[in-house]
Amino acid sequence: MGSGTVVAERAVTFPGSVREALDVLAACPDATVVAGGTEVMALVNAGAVVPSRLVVIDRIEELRGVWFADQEIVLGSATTCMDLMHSDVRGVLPALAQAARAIGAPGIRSRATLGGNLLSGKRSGGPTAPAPTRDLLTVLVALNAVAVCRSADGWRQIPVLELYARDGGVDLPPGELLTALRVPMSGGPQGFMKVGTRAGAARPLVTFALAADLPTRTVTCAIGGFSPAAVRVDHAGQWLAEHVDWENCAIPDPTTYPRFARLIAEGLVVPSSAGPAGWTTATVPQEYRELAAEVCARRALVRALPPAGWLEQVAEYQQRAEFLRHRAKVERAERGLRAEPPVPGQGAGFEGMRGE
Amino acid sequence: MSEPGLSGPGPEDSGTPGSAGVQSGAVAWATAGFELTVNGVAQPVSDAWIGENLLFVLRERLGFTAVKDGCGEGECGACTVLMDGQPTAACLVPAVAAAGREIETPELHAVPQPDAVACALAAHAGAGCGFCLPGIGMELRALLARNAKPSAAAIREALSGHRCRCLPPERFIAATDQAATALAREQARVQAQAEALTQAELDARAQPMRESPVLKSANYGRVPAQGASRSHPAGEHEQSGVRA
Repeated sequence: MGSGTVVAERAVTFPGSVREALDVLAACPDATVVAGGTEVMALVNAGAVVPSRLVVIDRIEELRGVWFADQEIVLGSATTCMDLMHSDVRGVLPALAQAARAIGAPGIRSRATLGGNLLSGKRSGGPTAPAPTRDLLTVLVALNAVAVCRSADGWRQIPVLELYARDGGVDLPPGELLTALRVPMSGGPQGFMKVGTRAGAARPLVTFALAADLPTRTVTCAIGGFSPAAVRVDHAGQWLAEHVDWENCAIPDPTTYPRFARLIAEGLVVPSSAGPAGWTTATVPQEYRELAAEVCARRALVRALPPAGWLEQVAEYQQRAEFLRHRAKVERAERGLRAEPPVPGQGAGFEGMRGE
Repeated sequence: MSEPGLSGPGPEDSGTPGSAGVQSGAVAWATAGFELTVNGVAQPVSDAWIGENLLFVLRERLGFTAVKDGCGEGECGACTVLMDGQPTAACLVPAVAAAGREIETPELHAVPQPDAVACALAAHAGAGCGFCLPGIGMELRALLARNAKPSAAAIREALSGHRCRCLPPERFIAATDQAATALAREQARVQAQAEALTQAELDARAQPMRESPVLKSANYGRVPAQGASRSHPAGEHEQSGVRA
């Protein structure tokens, strides 16, 4: 424990590995763990938190990045939202990439981390605190993610919702680090939708995520944004699974969309206690929140599972447009007309500019 | 351990410096010394409270006042700087966590000689109060670095975290377009220089653009493109007078 006593005297430590970070946390349990700092520093700036020690973990290479395996995807807890928007992640976890893109602004996403989105805010049994809105949690709940925690005693793997106590506080003992999240690879279509108080970076009223699993032919969906932790909506998922054409991955009956959305909105029970978003969106009336949930559910479902024949219609339209383009070009050439329309900027790139 | 009263201006938004002053013996403010790399220059910072954000250190301790302090919550985007090339809200970064990273503030790009982005913002968005412009400028520089010709939707998304209460977003889209054009022209010029073309060769290449008989008759030397279009009516008038 020699290194522990040395670092205990320092106000700020930059551990290089998870092992070192755990040593530091064991030596000084009152330390504030900072990864991106976007949630902690908002509280520090407001005077709600006065840190006496900082453990900065954003440079631990083991905690950053995404690992792709055959059966699962492992997301490091210090992966930033900007990394989660990468096209590789979007290819296998489109809902997570969409949720990461919906968080904050570019200036926030370059620092905000996955672990910080899940773990900031109120601790279990602690005082009330404005918490992050945990947009990513909604997706992880719908994807049945498993949280991997590590302490001096060893590893602990729990379903992601068990990170939270009944009062909505984070139930992570001091000295324990969330290292990664394991997401089973499903390969099915996914959808995410968020409605906030404004179109840009804003606290959400409702977030909704939906994931279809092709091998088992099930749909899981989760709704969040109004309560401390997202909740699974299993009855709607089971109902929807019976109305999906699994062979073509589409929905044959168009009335499925409004019925599914109604099912989601009717089950929406907003707790009277202030949730993570409650402290800024508490004044929003319940009717509007239900309407937002309905719209979220319908749009996310349309994105994930389009109506039957819809993709074929789009392909047919594109083919027809291509045919018309070609025919017009040939006919203009036959009549000896100019091929280019009389508008500027038809040249490739900056052709016109270079001529100046 | 230094107390806020002793270490010059205490952290202005550190909660309750007054109450800490009352029980000055009881509360120990953890401090740290570190070195920031701002605009390529190492800037030592000593005895800073560990809760100080990068914005405070840049403005109050190091004097980079082009970084603006808007809300302290990451909502307004006025404090945007580039950390390792990524736009970052400086008010939400602990200053110690920024040690060892490359920080760029608006001063690097706009003082003393404004760059293309700063010029375009001044031309299109100069009518507002200007408080949000340094942050928007940094965001646009990062955007133009990764996307040389951003669409209007990309510009709107990049600027979604910047609140401007004076001007509509169309101004900033126009400013970005102008900056992108200027940067592309500059890049083409640099590329041409890199290809070791002499000025004469450049002129020879640009000659077909100035084939107009008007310019030939006026016997202009090397005329810049804007000058050519501006002098066009006068030259035409002169020529028509000769003909008559």
